[in-house]
Amino acid sequence: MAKKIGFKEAKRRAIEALRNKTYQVATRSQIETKNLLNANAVSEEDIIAVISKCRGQDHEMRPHDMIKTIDVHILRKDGWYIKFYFLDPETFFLSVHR
Amino acid sequence: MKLYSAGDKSKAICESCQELVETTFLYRDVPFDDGSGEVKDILASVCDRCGEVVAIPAQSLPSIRRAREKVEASLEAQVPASDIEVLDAAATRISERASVRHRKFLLAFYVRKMARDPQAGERLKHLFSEAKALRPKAKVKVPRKRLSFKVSHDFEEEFAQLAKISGLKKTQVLRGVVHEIRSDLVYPEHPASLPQLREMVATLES
Repeated sequence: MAKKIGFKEAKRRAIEALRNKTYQVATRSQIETKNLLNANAVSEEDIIAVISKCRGQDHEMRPHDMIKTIDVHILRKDGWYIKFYFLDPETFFLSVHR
Repeated sequence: MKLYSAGDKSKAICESCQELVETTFLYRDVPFDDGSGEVKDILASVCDRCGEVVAIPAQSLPSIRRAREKVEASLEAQVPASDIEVLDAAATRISERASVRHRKFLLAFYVRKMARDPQAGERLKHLFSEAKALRPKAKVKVPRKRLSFKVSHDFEEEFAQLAKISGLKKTQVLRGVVHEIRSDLVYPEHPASLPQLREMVATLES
């Protein structure tokens, strides 16, 4: 059972994972070319800058489609769409789109 | 920075098994989802149950980004300086902040439009011969300049297809397309395509 965390903690951990490059990108056996983490267009620093700007109103949390006990965090800011979840101690990014 | 090694254990959500699964980091060839190729031998998190790649650690992303660079193609041509002036004039019509990247946007828009035209081959031949005929009246030398773009393989294929159906070389196709831009967007006082192009650029820049 994943421990429930709120916006502030989710934001802190997502930034930390990006900064320390300790995250993983969730895939379905193929590399999703639309996920900007897989492309050259943006860097981790760019994504950290977007997440840093996010406030509670930019955050949404919903249960993972398959595993309802896992919360998926969604951030929408300035046209960015960033979706991730945590499986202690890992951070998984599902989407980084713009 | 944490570096995983082959054989390390982790966990992830496996979309195939539809479950939270144990995983092992292993080297795998992983394809791009747009069919543009694959990245060979990257460390990936593999589901212990079904063997599918379920996640990719950050340490493998530089390899993916390098491979992605390779799937972008270069489109290069030496064209008369006047062709570049046409592209830049067209760019200033579609955006107040016209820059070099608008040249590529314009070419992409007109190449796509032309690729949908069943008469594109004949049309391009005609456009290129018109462009060639636009020589300066006096005997003056017009320098040639290099146009260079990074394009997707889809765009490159469309462009190659236009060269094939028209029987023109790629530089000649490019000159034909530039001539179309001149006739459609630069010369007319109220170009029909202008509102659509402005809206597209404004959306991209917003």
